[in-house]
Amino acid sequence: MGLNKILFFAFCSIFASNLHSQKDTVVVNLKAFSLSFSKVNDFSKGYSSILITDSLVTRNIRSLTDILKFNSFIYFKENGLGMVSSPSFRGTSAAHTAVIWNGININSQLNGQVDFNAISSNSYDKITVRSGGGSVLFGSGAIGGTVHLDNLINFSKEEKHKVLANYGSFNTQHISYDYVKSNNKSFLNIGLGYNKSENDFNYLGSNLTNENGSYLNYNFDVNYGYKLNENHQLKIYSNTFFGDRNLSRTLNAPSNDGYEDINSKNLLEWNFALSSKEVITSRFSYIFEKFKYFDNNKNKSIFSDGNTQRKIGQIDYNNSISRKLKLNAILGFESIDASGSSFGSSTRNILSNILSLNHQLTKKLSYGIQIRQDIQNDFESPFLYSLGIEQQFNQNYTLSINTSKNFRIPTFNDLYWEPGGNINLRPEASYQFEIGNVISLKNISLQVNGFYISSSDLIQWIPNASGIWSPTNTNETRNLGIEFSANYKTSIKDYFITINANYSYTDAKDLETNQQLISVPKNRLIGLINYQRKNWSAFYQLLFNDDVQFLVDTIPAFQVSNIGVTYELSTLKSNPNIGFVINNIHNTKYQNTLNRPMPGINFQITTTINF
Amino acid sequence: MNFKKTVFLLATAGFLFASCDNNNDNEPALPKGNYDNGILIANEGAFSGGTGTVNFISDDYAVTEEKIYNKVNNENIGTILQSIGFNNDDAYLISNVGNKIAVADRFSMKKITEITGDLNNPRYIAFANGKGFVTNWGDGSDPEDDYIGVIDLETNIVVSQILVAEGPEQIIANGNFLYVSHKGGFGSGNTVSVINATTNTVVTSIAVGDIPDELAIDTSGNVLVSCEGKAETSWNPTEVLGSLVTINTTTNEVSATLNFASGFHPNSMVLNEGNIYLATSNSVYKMAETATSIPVSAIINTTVYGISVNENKVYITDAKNFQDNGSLKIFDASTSTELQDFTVGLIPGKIYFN
Repeated sequence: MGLNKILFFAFCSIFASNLHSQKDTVVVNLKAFSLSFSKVNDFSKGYSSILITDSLVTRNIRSLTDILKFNSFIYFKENGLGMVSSPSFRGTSAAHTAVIWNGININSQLNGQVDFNAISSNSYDKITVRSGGGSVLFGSGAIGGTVHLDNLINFSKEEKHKVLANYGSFNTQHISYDYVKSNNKSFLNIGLGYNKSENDFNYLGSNLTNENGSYLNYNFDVNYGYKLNENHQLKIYSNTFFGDRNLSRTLNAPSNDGYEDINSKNLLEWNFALSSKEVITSRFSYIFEKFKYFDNNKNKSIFSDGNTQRKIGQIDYNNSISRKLKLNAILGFESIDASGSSFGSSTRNILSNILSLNHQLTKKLSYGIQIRQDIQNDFESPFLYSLGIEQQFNQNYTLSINTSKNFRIPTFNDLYWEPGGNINLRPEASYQFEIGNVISLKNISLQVNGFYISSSDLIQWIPNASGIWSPTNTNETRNLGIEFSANYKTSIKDYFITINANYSYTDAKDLETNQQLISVPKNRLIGLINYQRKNWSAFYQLLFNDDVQFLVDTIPAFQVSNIGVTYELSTLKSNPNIGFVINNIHNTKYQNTLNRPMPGINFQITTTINF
Repeated sequence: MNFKKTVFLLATAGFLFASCDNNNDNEPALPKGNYDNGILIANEGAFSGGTGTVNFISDDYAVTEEKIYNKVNNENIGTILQSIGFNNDDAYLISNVGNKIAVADRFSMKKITEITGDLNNPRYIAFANGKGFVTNWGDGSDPEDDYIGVIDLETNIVVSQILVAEGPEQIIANGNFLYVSHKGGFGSGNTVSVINATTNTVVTSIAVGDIPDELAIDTSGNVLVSCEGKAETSWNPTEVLGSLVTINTTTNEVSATLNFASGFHPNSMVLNEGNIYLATSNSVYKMAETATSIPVSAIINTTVYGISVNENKVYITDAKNFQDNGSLKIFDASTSTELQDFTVGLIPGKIYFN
């Protein structure tokens, strides 16, 4: 990378802050949304996203996997219910979906992935699933798509408590409590969550049970905001998750493994409004992850472990130059320390420079440009870009296209694992092109997206010349596909009906072997029908997942459905509601990963109290 | 219609000729099962949720069949088929992650029973004094729980455990004594244990080179141990030479150590008709049992995952990318020319002869 490029980026960032320190401050009211969330909206021209509503979250609150499995395009490689669960988005691999927590990429620094069963499901006000690459804005691993977990801090007078308590088959318990107290000056939100399950279901069609599959997790969240004056706001976001799991047996092997992990995410954010148009946000974040793996969960004195500590500092400058032109520049620094039984102790420093522009060219035509260059101590980081254009043809039809270059940097495991780690790895590179169509009519909205992703230098672990498993930049893949979603809403007299359908077709190939990639379902369909009348509501939820290749085996296609009913006791002051859910009503025998069965028909009672 | 008829006739004719041939033999050796007179390839299978499988290739290469155990018994062997041990007509299929030994007839692959109790990370089996002896790593990172499981061959139950040093790998019987190489599990070992098959006790422990793995008994009755040593890498800056160690079985002492050249770290060894075959991951070397220096040039250059030698043929498996089915290549041991190439199962590790 040339020195010019570095100077260019440094200049952009400094220029931005200098320019505005000269201006007089003007009284403004900051909008009450999280800035990262606004990035999904403002700086993602040409990308499609799905917002997971509160009711959808509550319905599948057992885990984030459950929520997204039934409400997004992501296929989850879940190693049995509640076990390690990694995503496959648009046919990409597990480390190619980035999870963005209040604007911060929280993918593991050890394996590059996020375990969607090790993230609390009750902690967030907004869950958004954005399809397509987003490395410029969201960093390493944002290739297939990104999942955004956001907490909203509002300065409006409110005080409320919410308690959710569920009980179901296999002694499965969920309890969560959420408290919000806010006024025009401050905001406080405290959240607690608890999940526990014996999870000892029978493996349908065999005489085996999930004898080593119990899990327990809890989370503690605090979100706090304080308005110093009309120009300054301080916000604190904190989320800590503790998980303790035994790892399920497969149909072919027993297990006595155990796994414990702690994840703590903390963010201090200072919003400084320079003028009615300009905001500088400074972020300081401390993220900690630690795991312990037990070969034998009866003897916890022997384990392997790993932990990482990340310190992140960011200066984020936003300028709405005019109603039509928005500019965003971010200068970020990150220092990561990792240590563990398999890779000693290492440090990595990253400096990132991001520049985004969003321009409404005419009333109907808008575009966005984003560029990013990281500077890193252990290897050369590629120049990244993203370009999106949106053309609204009429009030019913919008066409969008985007193209981007995205990346994934080698993880600590890839670089430093002993034995095998390869310090000569390069970042993975991924180019993509996407075309999107949105049709909105009175009661129905349709969205069709076609995508093409070409990735090279993919890191693959294979035995080297001395027979030791070691990662190399070998693989090249090509993914193409279509995502189709339809939403229909209607109300007749006093009842409401919502129908959602999401279908994806994915063709993902390894270009060297010309074979389909493993763990990618070609066809996947989710459907939801929701019916509501007065105090009653009922839903039917369906998931069809095509055949999945796993090495030389095929995981058969399956179709699984859930059904549920909720009744709200509106006569009581606190509007409590109770519900009953039947999961897997057809008692379908199915697996998400090879020979790791999921449970047959099972039941759940749900209660919610607001006061 | 015509085509089908032709095929049918041809098939019948072939059968008749074959029968005639058999009748011409003085003593027709009837096959003992569908999988007699052929090669068995043990495929490890996928680590995560997968099962080991066995491929069969007949000696005349006319018949090839995959997943024979799984098909005959309509059940899976278990995750990671590490090795197969043979005791007369019985095959002991050791599933390492599956913590299971499936016992089957070696010629028909029909399951007789399975052993599941008191196995913990089982690796290899040998037979002596009417008992089976299975090496067990225990939990990979626990150095205290490694043992040899003793199997009563009448009941096929693990009746006792002999505690041994970390990472017992291969095991070979020499009369009433068993020799166990301590490869070291997840760590690295450098000893060979000797076990008395009558008393089920460790008689002695012999220091050998680093990472001892394959064992063989030479024509003089010595135990040969191939020690891999440690290649120089970024996480192991100092190379430890590989070696071939000879143990005198009368004294149970090391009688000779032949150090390998720098950079030569063979991970498999086969002894066949007075010749030692050593294989690295990409070439095969051959030396006479009596040689006092190591071979300098390879006889075969090909990717090697598993190797075996039988009746002047070298059998080499290639695990390819460990995600697709591997292959078995057969070479002439004298000329080193490749004779055959078969696609077999996922991660083909071991080759046996029926």
